[in-house]
Amino acid sequence: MLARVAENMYWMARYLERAEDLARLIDVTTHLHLDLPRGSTPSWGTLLTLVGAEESYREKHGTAEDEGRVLRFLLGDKDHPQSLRAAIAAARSNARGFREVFPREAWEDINGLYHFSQEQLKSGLSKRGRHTYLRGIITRVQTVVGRLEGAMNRDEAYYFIELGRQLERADMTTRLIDSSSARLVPQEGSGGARFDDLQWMSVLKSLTGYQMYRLEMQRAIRSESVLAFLFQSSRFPRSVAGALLALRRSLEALDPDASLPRRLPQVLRQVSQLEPEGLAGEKLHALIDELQQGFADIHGQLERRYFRPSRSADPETAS
Amino acid sequence: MTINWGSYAQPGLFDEWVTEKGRLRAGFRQLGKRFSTYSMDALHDRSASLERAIKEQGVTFTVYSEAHGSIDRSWPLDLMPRILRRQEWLTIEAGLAQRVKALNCLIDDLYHDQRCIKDGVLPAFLLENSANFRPQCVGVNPPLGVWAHICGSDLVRHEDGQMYVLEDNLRVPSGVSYMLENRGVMKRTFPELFANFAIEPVDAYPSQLYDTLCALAPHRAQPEVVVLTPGVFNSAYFEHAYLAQQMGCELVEGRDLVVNSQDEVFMLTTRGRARVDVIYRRIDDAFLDPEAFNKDSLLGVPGLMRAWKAGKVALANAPGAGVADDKAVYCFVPDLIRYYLGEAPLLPNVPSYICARKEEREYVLDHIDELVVKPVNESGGYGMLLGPQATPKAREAFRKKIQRNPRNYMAQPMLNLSTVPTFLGQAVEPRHVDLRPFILSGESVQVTTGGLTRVAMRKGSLVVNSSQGGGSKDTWVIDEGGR
Repeated sequence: MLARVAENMYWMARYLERAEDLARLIDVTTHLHLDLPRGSTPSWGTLLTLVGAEESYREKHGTAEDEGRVLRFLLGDKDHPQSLRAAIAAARSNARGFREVFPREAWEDINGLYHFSQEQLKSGLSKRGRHTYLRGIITRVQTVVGRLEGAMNRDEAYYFIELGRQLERADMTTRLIDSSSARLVPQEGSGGARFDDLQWMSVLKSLTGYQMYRLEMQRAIRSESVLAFLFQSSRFPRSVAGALLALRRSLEALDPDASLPRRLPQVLRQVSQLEPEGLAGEKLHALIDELQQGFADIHGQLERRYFRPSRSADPETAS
Repeated sequence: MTINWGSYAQPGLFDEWVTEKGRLRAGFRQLGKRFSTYSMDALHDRSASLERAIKEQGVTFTVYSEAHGSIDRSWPLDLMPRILRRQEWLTIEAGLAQRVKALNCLIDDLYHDQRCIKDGVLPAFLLENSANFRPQCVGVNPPLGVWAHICGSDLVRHEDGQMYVLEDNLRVPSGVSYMLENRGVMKRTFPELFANFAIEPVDAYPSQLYDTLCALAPHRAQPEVVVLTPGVFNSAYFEHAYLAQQMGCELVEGRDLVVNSQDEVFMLTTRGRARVDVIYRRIDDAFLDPEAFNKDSLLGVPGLMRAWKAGKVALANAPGAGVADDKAVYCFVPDLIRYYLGEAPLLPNVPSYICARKEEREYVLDHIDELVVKPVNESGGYGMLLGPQATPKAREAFRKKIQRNPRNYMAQPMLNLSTVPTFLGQAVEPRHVDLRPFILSGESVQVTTGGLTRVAMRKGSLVVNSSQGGGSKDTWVIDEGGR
């Protein structure tokens, strides 16, 4: 298929996944803050760090990180690509470029998602309407994903969508794990340990992984087992390994004879070999940084291989 | 309440279904009676289900507004069909085929010996001042000698009942996808009429188009045909995507194509490059190739003209075909039919005045309040003066424009377009229509059965453009007598 169309599909899927995960992250953080002990101030700025939007936020709003401002920025800002609104708009504009090869209903669903995200934004910014708004976004993204799953031939188009979705998912899951190292819950005062558990639980819930964790690990919430589950479980589809394995399967289906992008097996090995015991704080954060660099490298390799064929007139002679 | 044809008729209009006395015309009686068996409520229900079908099939067109950028709107289709009697249609069909053959002869002649000018059939000044003559095309021999492979001609019926050709669009005519979608929607809306009346099908077009394009391919048995679009923000993008999908072709943009030093064209795919043999281009000449035409164009493909001239790729329509898509050249088409084909024209032109000629210009300047004055190189109804409706000030301004640049204008009498019954929610009333059939030229010439009927939805209005509130109708070529 056309390289441009493949790239559009890949990015549409990335933005859709990003929108869904952002909605999950914001929803769960909001709930967590409601459980905080009286007297401690929730840090909304951490959310900005997690999605890598700290700098663009500072440029716009300085250092004031109150709930209203941060949420307006993450939900409704048009100008930076990490906002929910911008992600959905970008998914839609990518989808426009290949309407002729895309199930018609899926295009209508994406349009519906886009209009919902714009029209209901005001209610999403209110404390009472937020949860309903975010659930609405998540459900609508899931509808698109389900529609594609059920309607598309397993051909190139489908696999490029899968590549985008799984790579974005691996990346967003590491950001959610990072939230524990970033300390959404301030540690001052008593009860720090208890709130550690609370925080892990909220990370699991944001990935709809709480039940799955219980089923798979059969144990109480403990930092190292949650980390093992979220990084390494090959059964949980939102774990880092789960997403990367799905990515690998799509690549193998897409191009059975080609070698995998060099960085993919490396990153997978790093994930399966990591030692969750004692992994916390700075050490965890550094590991996650490294993984995210790995994802970026994988993206670069996909881009070079599939999306950017040489434009020179005679590539054979142009070297 | 049902349609009462007796009270439907309005004096001073030529209605295609009903005479001025309120009687259904011959050839329309059975269908007309059939329509008057539906109650207004039943028509209302059908109209609602028609609109649902349009929405479900995702038939849209794009409009621009300052505030919202480009927006997709549902395509407007009227519940009542436009009907053409088969007998009349056969003449129109033959007339269109004849016309397009002559136009292709003309284009080929203009880029070669210019016999028609030497023989005095076409005045030389028309060519000297033509905005669409491309010197880059001189001497080129496109496959089969055909330049305009896809033509959309606009026909109107005057109050004398006669069909006239209003203009021929030889550049990138659009609308055929709506003709096809209209039929799909109407079949869902009136299945019983399609079962009981001999309505001729229209859906052969995409495969005829594909065959026409394949026949242009230089050499290869399994040619790669692509549709070239300016992109998603073009107002006809729906049609580009639709036709690509119907033909099973790739829909490409300029940036998806490269031309190598052997003048071969390739598209950039996820598996490297793939050779392209035929391009159905929906981009104007000026944006086709920045090497040859508009240096600032980002839409085009550098080297495409080279590849075309070398015969390594076929372009439909050929660059330069627009030279015959000129309202001043239009005036000479009947003469050109006689000249190239040695035949009498089957379809008349609307009487026209060429402002470049002194006597005709003076007539136009004196009678501007009775005439429609058109710039010769515009399409889509832009830059026109409707004399009878214009203010004295606007007329004066137009007189000046004509005097400054007479070659740029032609004029025609204000036509009283025929009307067709149109559903307006509570009633059926006459509204003005035109017709755009599409003509394919390759190894043979094929004409769509009927075409796209456009209708002015406002009472008395003659403006049928969808960007200006016009609607459309399904066009039924029919042989009454039932089945």
